[in-house]
Amino acid sequence: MVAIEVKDMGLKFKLSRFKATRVKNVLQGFLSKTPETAQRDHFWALRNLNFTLNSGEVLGVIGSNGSGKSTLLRTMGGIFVPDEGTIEVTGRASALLSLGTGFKDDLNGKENIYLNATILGFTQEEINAVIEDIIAFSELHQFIYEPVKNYSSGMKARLGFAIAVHLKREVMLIDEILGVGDFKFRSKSTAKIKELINDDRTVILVSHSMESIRSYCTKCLWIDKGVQKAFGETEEVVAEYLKS
Amino acid sequence: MGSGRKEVRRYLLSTLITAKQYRASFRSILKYLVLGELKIKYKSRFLGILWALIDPLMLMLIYLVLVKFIFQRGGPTYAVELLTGLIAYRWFSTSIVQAAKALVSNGKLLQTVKFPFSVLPISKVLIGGVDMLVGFVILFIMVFFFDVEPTLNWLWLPVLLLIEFQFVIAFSLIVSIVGVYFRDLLNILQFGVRILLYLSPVLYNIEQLPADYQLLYTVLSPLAPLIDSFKRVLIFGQHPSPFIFVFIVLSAICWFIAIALYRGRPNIAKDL
Repeated sequence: MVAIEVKDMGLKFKLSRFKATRVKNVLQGFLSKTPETAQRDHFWALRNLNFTLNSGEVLGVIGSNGSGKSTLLRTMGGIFVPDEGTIEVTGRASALLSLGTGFKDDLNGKENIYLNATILGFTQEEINAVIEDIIAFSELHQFIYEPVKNYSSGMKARLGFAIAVHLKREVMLIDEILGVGDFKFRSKSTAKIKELINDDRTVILVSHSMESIRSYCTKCLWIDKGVQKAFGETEEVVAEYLKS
Repeated sequence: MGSGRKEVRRYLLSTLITAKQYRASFRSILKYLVLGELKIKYKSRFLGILWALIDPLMLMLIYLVLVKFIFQRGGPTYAVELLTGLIAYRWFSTSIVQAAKALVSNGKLLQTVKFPFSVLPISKVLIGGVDMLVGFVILFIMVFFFDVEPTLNWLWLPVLLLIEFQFVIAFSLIVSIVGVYFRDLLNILQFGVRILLYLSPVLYNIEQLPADYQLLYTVLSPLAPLIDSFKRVLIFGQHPSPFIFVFIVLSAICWFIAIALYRGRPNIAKDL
């Protein structure tokens, strides 16, 4: 079964200096809107992407900084709507982008688990079923009842990671979260990610670590400046990328 | 044929998930946002929920001293008239100022997760609503000290609250989106709501205006029919102002704009 189908997909951003948030820009837009300026005031963050991923496959996305990897992940998660072409995701996708986004500093860890998970679209029952696992995995123990503002950045990251890996969807979007916390926690989290991936889920993994891409991914996509450079078997694409 | 059926199945799959779970997830996000923020707002403060009272009561005291003792104006029930107006006005003013920042200040979150983001401004209205209800409790106690007789017209109060509620929601939805594209909006609103206080019948009653201008004023001052109705019903034992219909028409227009804005901005995350 096809899990993700991307056809001629493109996504453009308006450059901030042309955004209609200033009187000057609005006026300029009215006065001098030629096709030429319309071309200049945005850039394509992604363009001409074409690939299909079957369910259960693990796709690694590689490319240099600012090449559009995270933007692609967000488009798969439904946060951005493509400006051209189509992207179809079968089943629900859950985003594990940056860990701990949406935490409220004054709420305690447990309350933040509920807040975060409901925003991710999980029901009360679904959360209740995994809350103990999340708390245990995060190793926060009694600190789970402390406000998050008193957490160290490592504690916050651990909690964010624990939430992300325990709330599962058919399609998981993972953005470089493999290295969280100290050495002990890192090996634990690597094991958890492995478990997720072997769980017959469709996983999209964005990473700079060729080591993890090689060991987890069945397919690999290389994008450069928003353009698809290569898509196919992991070993071949990675080799091509490293040569460039 | 085959691909057409596949399309249909995929479409059904996605609607089944959203239609059924959308509302449930909307409600639970709203619940945690509101409870969370109320906790932050009141539980971590020494005076707690009392802050919901202190603010309107202080304002009331200031105007009371100004009008009653310095200008020697205002009838025997002036204090409670003032508080009624202030509470109704404050729900609107605080909610819309908060709503104007609601999307912008959650930009990171909106760019990370897809969720029904209208909960962000709506949660601000509900939080303001809690302050408003606390204010009403005090108002009900005060009203008896000013010899205001309870009448059957008090039954209009929940109706008026609902009318205000839906209007504040519609207006908050509008400013939340406009605030993303037009960042000056917040400054304008902070300034605007202050002017609105004096343009609304909070410190005075409509009857005190020159007779020729009363009609024009009631139609043009956006909150006038509502605040006037609150005072009529609660303190003067009358029916709501007939001009409340002007207010309802205004709300309908706001809803129309709000829905158009939310429908037309699927890519809001890109503009944050």
